Amino acid sequence: MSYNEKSEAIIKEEWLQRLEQFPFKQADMNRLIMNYLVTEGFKEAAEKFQHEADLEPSVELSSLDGRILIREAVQAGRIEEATQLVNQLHPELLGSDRYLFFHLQQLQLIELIRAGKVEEALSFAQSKLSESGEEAMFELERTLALLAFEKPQESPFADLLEQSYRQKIASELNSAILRCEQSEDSTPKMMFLLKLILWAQSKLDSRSISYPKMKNLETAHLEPK
Amino acid sequence: MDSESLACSSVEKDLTRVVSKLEQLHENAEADIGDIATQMSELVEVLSRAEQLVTTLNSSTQVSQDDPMGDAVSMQVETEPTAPQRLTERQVESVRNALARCHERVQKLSTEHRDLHGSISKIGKAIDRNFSADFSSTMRVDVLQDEENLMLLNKAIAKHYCRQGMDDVARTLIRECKMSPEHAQDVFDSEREFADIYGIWVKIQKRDLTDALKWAKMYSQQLSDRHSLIEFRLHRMRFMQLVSYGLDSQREAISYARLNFKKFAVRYEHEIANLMASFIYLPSGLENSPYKHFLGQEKWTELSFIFLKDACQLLGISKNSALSVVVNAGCTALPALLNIKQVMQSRQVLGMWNGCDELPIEIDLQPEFRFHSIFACPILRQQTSEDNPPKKLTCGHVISNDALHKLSVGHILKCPYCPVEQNAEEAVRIYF
Repeated sequence: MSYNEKSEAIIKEEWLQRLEQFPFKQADMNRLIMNYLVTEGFKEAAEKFQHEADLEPSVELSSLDGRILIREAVQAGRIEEATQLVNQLHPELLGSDRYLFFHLQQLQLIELIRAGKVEEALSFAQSKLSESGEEAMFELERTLALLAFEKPQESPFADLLEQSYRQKIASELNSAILRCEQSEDSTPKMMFLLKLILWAQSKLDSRSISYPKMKNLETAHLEPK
Repeated sequence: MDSESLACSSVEKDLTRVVSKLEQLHENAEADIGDIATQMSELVEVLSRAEQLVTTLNSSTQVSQDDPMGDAVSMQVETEPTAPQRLTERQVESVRNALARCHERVQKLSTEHRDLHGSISKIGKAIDRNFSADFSSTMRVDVLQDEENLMLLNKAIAKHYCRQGMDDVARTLIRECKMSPEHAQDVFDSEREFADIYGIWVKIQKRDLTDALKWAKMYSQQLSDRHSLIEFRLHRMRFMQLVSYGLDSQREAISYARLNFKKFAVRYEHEIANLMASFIYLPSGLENSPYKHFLGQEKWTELSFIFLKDACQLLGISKNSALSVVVNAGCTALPALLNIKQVMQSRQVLGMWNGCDELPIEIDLQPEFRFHSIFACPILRQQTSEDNPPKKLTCGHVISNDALHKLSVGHILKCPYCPVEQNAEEAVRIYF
C-alpha cells in the first residue's frame, strides 16, 4: 500500500472513532495485565486480580516467590542478600552473564558510597571490579565519580543513587531469571505494546503527518492536533 | 627555504663522500697495522730467545771458572762460545726482509692518507660556495651608532634576561652599559609580571603545582569568563599526581577531588568520571593502566605551555620576549634578503632602503610575528601607523588622523560617511 505523503491531517474525532471501533475484548486486556503482574513477580497483586477477573494465570503463582524475594532485596539495597538468593536459585546465571553480575556489584558499590564508606568502596572496586569489561567501564567511571563529591546526590551522577536505578537493575535481573527458566516471556507483553506505540508514532513523525499524539504513556492522553 | 635546504644537502653530500673514504682508509689501515704488529712481535720473540741462549752460555762459563775440579769441562766450553753468539746469515736476512715489508706498508698508508687531503679541502670550498659569510649588505650598522638605539638594544636584552629569571645577569649588563636609573627601573617593572609567570612555568615542568594552583585560584573568575581550560587541567594533574603516589594517598586524593572538582562538575562531567576510575588500577599499578600517560614528562611539559599561553593571554602580556621575537623574525627574513643581495648592491637599493622603515621586498612571516596595524584608512587608502593612527569619530566611523585633519575646517568636521557634523578634536584614537 503506497503512502500518500500529502494526506490531510487526521483530526482527533476521527482518530478516537477508529479507536472505539477496534475489535477489543476485555478478556484480552485482562490477560495482558496478568502477564505483566506474573512476569514482574507481583504475586499478591496477581492473586487479587486472579480472583477479581476470574482468570487463571499462565504459571503457578507460588513459583514467583524466589523472584519476589530477589526483587525485594535489590530494591531495598541489600545486594549481597540478593546475590546469594540468585546463586541459590540459579547457580550458573551470574557466571554466564558477566554484565548482569557487574550490575549487581555496581549496586553494591553504590550502597557503600551512599553510606559514606569511602575506604570500603575503594577496596571493593579495586578487588571486585578492576577487571570489568570495556562495556562496563563507562558505567564504572560514573559510579566511582560519586566519590568525588561530598554530597553525591547533588552531583551529575546522582541518578545512580535514585530508587529508579535499583528498579532498573531489578527488572534486568528478573528478566534474566525468566530467560534462565526458559519461561515463555522474559519481558511483559505490555512493554512490547508500549514500544510499538512509540515506534509507530516516530514513523508518522518522520513522514510529517499530523495526528493526535500520545506524549505521556502514563496517562495515555492524546494531544489535539 | 629551498635554497637553504639545497645548500645544506649539497655540503652534506660532499661531507658524506669524504667520511666514507676516511672510514675505508681506517679499515685498511687497521688491518695493515695489525699485520705489522704481529710480525714485529714475532721478531721480538726470536731475538729474545737468541739473547737468552747467549746469557745461558755466559753463566756456564762463570761456573766453570769457579770450579777447579772441572778442568776438562772448562776446556770444552772455551771452544764453543764463538759460534752461538752470532746470528746465522739466514736469520739476518729474515730480519732485514721483515723490516723492509713494514716500511713499505707504512709508506703506502701515508700516501693514501695524503691523497685525502684534497677531498677534505673541497669540503671547505663547498661550504664557502653554498653558505654566505657576508651579511653586510643586509645590515644597517649605522643604527647602532646612535646612542639611544644602542641603549634600546641593551634594554631589550636586559628584559629578556629578566623574563628568564636571570635578574643578576640583567643587573650586570645594566651596570656595564651604564644604563640610566629610569630605564633600568622600567626593565624590572615591565617584566616583573612575566617573571612571576615564568617562575610558575618552570615549577610546573618540575612537577610542582603549588604556585600554579594558587595563581589559578586568584584569577579563577577571569579564567572562567574566558572559558580557559587551565584551571581544571591543573587540578586534574594534581589529582593524578596524588593517585600516582599509591594506595596510601588515595584518601588524600579523594579529599582533593571533593574540594576542587565540584565547580567543574557540569562542564567536565565525563573527564571527572574518567579520572575517578583510576583508583581501580592502584593495586596493580598505574603504570600498567590506561592512565600511564599521566606519569610521563610530556604531560607536564604540555601542561606548562598551556599555562604559559593562558596566563600571558589573561594578563595581556607577550608570551615571548621582544628579543626572541626579533631574532626569530630575523632568521625568517635573512635568507630572503641574502637572495637579493646582488640586486641591492648593483641597483643602489641600499641607499634607498636606509631612508625608510620598509624592506625592499615582501617577506612572509608567520601570523604570530605580525604586529602592524590591520586598519586601512578608507579616505587615504593606506594602512594606519604610529604616525598616522586610526581615529573614531563621534558618529562611530573610523578614519586616519591625517584624513581627519584634511577634512576638517577649523574645528568643524563633517563625516565623509554620514551627515553628522562634529568637533574634530573629539575624535578618539583607537587600537586594534
